[in-house]
Amino acid sequence: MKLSNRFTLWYVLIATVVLLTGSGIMFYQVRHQIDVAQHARQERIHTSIAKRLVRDGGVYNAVPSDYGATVQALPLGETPASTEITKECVTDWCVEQQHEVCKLAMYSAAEADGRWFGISTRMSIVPSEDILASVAKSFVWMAVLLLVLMFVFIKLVAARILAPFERTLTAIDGFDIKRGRPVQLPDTGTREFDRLNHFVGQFTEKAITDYRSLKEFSENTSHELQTPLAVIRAKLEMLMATDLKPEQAESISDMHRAVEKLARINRSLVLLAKLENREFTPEKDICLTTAVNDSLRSFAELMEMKGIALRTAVDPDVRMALHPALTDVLLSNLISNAIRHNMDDGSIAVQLDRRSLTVTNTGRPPQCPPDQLFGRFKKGNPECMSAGLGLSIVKQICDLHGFAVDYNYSSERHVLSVRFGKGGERNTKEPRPVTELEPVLG
Amino acid sequence: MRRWKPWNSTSPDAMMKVLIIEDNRELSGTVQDYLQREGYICSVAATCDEASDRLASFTYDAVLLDLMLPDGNGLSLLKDIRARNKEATVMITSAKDALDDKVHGLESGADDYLTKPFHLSELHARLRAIYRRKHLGGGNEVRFEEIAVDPDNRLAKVADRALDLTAKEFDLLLFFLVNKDRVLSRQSIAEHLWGDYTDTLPNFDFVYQHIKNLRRKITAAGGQDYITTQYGLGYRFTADRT
Repeated sequence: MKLSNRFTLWYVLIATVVLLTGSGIMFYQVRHQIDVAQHARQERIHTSIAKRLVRDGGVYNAVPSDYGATVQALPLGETPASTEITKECVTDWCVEQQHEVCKLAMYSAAEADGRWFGISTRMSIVPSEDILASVAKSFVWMAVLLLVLMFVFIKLVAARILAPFERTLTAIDGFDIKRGRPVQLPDTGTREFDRLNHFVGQFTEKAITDYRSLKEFSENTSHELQTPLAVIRAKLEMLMATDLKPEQAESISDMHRAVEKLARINRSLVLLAKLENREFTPEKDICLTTAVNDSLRSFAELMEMKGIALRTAVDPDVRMALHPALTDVLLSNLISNAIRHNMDDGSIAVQLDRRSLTVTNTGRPPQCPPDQLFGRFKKGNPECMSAGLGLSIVKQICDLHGFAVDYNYSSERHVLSVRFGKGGERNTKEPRPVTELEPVLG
Repeated sequence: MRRWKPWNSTSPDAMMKVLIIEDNRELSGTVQDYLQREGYICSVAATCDEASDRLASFTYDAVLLDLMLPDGNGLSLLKDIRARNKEATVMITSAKDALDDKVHGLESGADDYLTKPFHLSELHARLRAIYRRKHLGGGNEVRFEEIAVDPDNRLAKVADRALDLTAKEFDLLLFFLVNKDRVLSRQSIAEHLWGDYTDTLPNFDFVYQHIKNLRRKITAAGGQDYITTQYGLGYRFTADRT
């Protein structure tokens, strides 16, 4: 839900509650005030009549301001039941209007000239329903006005007030730690937004410095490791050339193997670090068809030895912007991966068109979840002596070029496909229908 | 005129003068030791200054150049070397594995680029190959007993009978001949044959397969089997089968 909508919703809720209670209060207040005023008015009439009866010696002379009050003389010597003023509400039938009217009837007694008089008045009052109706009507108008203004406010004013916030969000969204540019935003004039922008600026700057130092650390470590590794390797090779007892030879062989593995991991990590740092840019227009064919040719011997059958469906002249050395690394990683995780007398199918490159190979199912295979040091087959960095290198290279890469395993086949996305669509004429690759039998 | 007889390290005119520019003393020492045993004459420089001094005073056939030196970048030395010593073979040995660096180094006049950590046998093979290419032109055969290999035309013969070798088998044979009498680990062979990024290389059974095929082809052509297995270490190409 949008922030402005959330505000509107709450405002509408609050406005409804306020308007409803407000109209209730107003209704009772208005009715009460009208009643009080009417009573006071009628009481004034009663007092005035009583005074005039005393003044005129028991004779009642009606005046217009008495509003048709009736004065009745009680029989001599009789006293009224109560000398207090009594009131009651009655409904009369108004003959002229053919309508029921509410009236306030008031009775009182007054003594003049030695006898008692009963005074009664009947005056129309505004009925409660009428008050309620008009109060409700005015409140409905107020509500309508409020809502309309609220919507206009949200649409026009809130958008303007929240614009710096939107800008901040866009800036955070576009922040790329690898590009090393902290988020910097202009002053907004709103204290909260300025604080937010200040924080965002500080955080991104901190993140960039941390990232950079971590990156430098891992890079330097990898680099610094290369020379000692070279020393160990060289010394071991010198040792190998000397006369050795079998046990010594075995130890040296083990050490050598370990150093080799270390060297390989380190080299892959250096490459990965460089890929992550975006030190390569896909600059050259490369014929992928040629690259795939060359790469396949260089692995042909290995495939032959393992008795792996190769099927290819490679479109001619697929070209796109790539980094030449990375293309080699990508292809050789994909193909050698397909060879390594294959079985004897298995098969590999390589398919290339303008949209994708797919390498399919037979093999045992992977031992870890497919989505983890692109992580570092993840191996589909734990016995394998590789470090498990091959596919993360593939992933990084694909990321760098804006390609999507995914893996799945079905019917005893590993399928790795690289989809070129918009980079590959550039030279598209008519995409060739994807041919089903026949499984190789035997 | 041949200045040295290739692949025969015992011959006095096989002396190739090499300058090792490397700030790590242990590494330069080991490389020096190794190359001296192969019949090279080696000097070591640990800094750019030292290297400049040496380059100004002596002529070298080959220079091993580390890029990251305490007092500067090795690439700046390249121009120096090229100015004074046009003939010298320059091989960059760097811990920096940047592919772009490699290209840059080669563009600025280096002959080859080896990434640390490298195999000494690989270094030796590369030095020989470059040197041969630059100084001797074509037509130089590498001989070992009855085996003759012509690297330029990629021909191999056993007692004048041509061997039908695949490209990899040929490279393997040449690698053995260059490093004869030395133990070659399967890793160094694999890297020599398949290049960098062998992390993804299928395991070393392939090396074994190639060696088996090579042995079979040589003996089938009437040659002796000079390849011996050294415990778990690797293989050695030697006439002295003890």
